[in-house]
Amino acid sequence: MPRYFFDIMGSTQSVPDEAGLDCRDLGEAHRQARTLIADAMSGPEATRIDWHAWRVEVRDEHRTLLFTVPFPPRLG
Amino acid sequence: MSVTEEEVPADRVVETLESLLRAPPFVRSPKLTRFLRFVVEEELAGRGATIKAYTIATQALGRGPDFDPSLDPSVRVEAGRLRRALDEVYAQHADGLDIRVSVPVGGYRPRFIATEAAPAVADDAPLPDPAEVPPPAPDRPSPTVIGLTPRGQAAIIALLAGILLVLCIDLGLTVSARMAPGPAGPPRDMAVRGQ
Repeated sequence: MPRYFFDIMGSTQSVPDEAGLDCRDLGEAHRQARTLIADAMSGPEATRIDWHAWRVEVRDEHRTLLFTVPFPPRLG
Repeated sequence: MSVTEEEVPADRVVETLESLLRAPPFVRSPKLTRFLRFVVEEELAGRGATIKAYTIATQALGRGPDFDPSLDPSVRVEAGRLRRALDEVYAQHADGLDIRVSVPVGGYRPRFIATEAAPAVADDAPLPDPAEVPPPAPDRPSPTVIGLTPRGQAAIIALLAGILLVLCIDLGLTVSARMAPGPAGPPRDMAVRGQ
């Protein structure tokens, strides 16, 4: 299975992905990106983070950008 | 609440931790390795209640004391990646892992659950198609089938061959004795038949 990397990017900071994840195809990579977003937005602490400014950049094994998934303003 | 102290011995958790950290997702990511080791060791040390984004960031991820979890989602993001990495290890490299380590969504404290080691064949064997499953046999006594080993079969064949040979020899002797001309002429039954 190909490995995809999910870099989390904000307007002034980023959280790069070291490990990556094995996904069957782009569809599964998109689902993993959305799961990652949901996990990040449901942490235990209250935040003042402007999620609208954040996105997931999904990259292939060569670190080529494949697509971007924006964070929603709030977890729906 | 720590599940560890009640259900799983700490030494087994430590063994599982070391096995997990040798799996590819953690080998590829020193950050996830430090994250998992930190939360597991803190939980085992009885400090699970103090595992917060700030302590993870400053003690495991190398962030400075000015880390503000209310503005920086780094720990939340790495926690999500940690959950995916654990899922991947248990899905693809689960040999010998009889303790399930997880970090439930909504917190950073790990949970440890002892799992029954299922036989390897159970995971690999495909489930039968219900359409292909034969109907149950009717409730009646099944015919008895006696199985013989090849050696037993050979013994029975030899026995039958011996009996057949004895019968042939006996028949041959009888016929030749009756056919042979004796001093008193042909046997009476043949004489009778000749009349």
